[in-house]
Amino acid sequence: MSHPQQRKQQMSVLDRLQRYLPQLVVAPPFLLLVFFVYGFIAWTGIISLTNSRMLPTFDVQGIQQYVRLLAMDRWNVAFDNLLIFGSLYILFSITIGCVLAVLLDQRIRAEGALRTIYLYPMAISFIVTGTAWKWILNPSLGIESYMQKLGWESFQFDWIVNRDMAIYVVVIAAVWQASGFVMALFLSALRTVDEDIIRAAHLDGASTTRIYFGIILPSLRPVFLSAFVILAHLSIKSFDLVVALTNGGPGYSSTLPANFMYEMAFRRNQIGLGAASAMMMLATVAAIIVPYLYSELRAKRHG
Amino acid sequence: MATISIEHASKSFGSTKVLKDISLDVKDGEFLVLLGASGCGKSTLLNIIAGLEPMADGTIRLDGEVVNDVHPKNRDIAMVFQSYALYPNMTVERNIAFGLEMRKISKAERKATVREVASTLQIEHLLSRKPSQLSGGQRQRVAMGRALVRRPKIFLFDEPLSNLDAKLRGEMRTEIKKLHQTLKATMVYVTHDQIEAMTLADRIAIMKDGEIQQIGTPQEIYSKPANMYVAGFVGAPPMNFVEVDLVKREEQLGAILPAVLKGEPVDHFLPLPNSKHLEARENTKVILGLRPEIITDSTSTHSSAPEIECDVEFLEPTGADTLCIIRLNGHPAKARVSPLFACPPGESMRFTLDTHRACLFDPTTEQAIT
Repeated sequence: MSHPQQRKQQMSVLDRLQRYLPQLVVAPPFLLLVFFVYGFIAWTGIISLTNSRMLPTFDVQGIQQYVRLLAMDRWNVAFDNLLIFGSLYILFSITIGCVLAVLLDQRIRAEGALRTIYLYPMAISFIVTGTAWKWILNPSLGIESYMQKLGWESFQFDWIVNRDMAIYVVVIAAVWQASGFVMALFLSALRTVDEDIIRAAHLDGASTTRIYFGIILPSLRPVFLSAFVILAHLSIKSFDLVVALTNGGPGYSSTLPANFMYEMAFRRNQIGLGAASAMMMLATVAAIIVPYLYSELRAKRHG
Repeated sequence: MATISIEHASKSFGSTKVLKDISLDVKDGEFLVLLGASGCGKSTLLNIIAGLEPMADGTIRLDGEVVNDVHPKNRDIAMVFQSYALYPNMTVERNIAFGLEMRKISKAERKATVREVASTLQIEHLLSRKPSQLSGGQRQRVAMGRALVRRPKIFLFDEPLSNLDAKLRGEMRTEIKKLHQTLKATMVYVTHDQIEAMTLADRIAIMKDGEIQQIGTPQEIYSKPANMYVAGFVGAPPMNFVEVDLVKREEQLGAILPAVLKGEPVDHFLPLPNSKHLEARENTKVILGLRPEIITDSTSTHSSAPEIECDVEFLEPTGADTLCIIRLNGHPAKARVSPLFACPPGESMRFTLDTHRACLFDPTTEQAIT
């Protein structure tokens, strides 16, 4: 008599298990995420308000670390570098990627091979990119010495050892790495454009340039936006490229905020200051991502 | 004046020949419909007229002038696309004005012309909207507006109505027809819909596998199809084809039509009028083409036309007429009768066959026997 009852109970356990299975499966990663991402963001936020040095302390002192941070020339250089690097990186990557995509979109021969060639840099780690470009741009090893050996004695290209130009070297290497990726983004979007639109524009008398700049590229606004957001956050968290390419030098002329943060938190026993700079970077990312997410979510709700 | 003349046009994509030596003349002010199933080359032919695709071989003349190498924008042609192809980033107003803008027409003039076109198409209230905010029918009107605004010599339509629902399609068809009558412009219209073709065309060119099968007025195409493909493509429901023997009885040439009466096969002799040209084919097989309205109920006609009595297998009422499915030579055939006289399925009734309007085809070449 007890057998069917037991069975019924078992069934209900299984039923319940089935009902809660998704939650059960998702819960551990969710908790890990909350703890290791948001938990540590909060932890960093608290640390940035203390005067922690080599070891973290938890007596909250207020915003003195931020005051110190903003007064430091090293931080200001790093932040200015971020503005220069970020804007040039995004601008050139999108422009070059876009032009490459438009050119590749002309149904040329060996398009697949060319696409792969342009896309390949993205597969290389920043450390490798940095090291390779360090050699290429090294005045006594790379382009400069090569051109001089060819006979152009006065040729100079020493940006990598020039205080004022070092950050632009980082831009060159980063653009080289990212523009192929941007090209792939644009190319796939260009391929979805209705061919009849191009035909209609031809009949209307528009030139090919006019068709691209007046009709096709404006209709790719969402792609521009995604490219911008991806490149913006890549540029803010750039770290390893600088380490490999210039190691922040000459002096600290080419450091970026991420390098500053690493230097302070892990090498100079200034955890509080490092945490404050990390929070500044978070705020910068948020300033870009939050409006984007907001507009995306709003569009979805309306659509 | 705007005439189009195509001579020996051919074109292939890779190893498939999409156009095989096509020659075609369109008269000034004519409405020509290119009709055919998908992949028959009709859209390619249209694109060649527009200059959007190059020809492998052949010449194309507009108003007598060879335009093989003339850029599409200089051919004074406007085209309406199946996908409408509106510029997604521009308002309706700019969409319509874009062609004028490219032709460096002043802003004020542009604005006035756009207003005028918008009012004829009744889309004035949409001018400030973007294409994504329009319904299919509205997009269609904007696409028409974009073509109209330039007042081109020639209009090309590439299946412009196939993305609309049935009711809108009917309305737009009427408007296109009206437009053609007021503008008196030369129009070439591509479609796979034979009703569109029949209602709109001055002349229809039926294409198959890159070749023109027949070109003629809708009535010619319908009543004197050049071959079995044309006969079967035009007309709904399609023409019935029955393989019959040609024999002579009492000095009269006729066809033996096997039918079924009360479950038993019965052979009927159908005398064929004006059969002088068929003498040579006596005692051979031919394909008899009978449109459904040729087989009709005997009660509503009082002619001397031959009659057959046979079993009705099914009925398909369409409202105005009822289609009776009967069996001729083992294959189902449709007869169009008045709903008043249609017998219930399973019973038999008498049909009159108007043999004057029947078509005959050669069984091997599938060409009409004339």
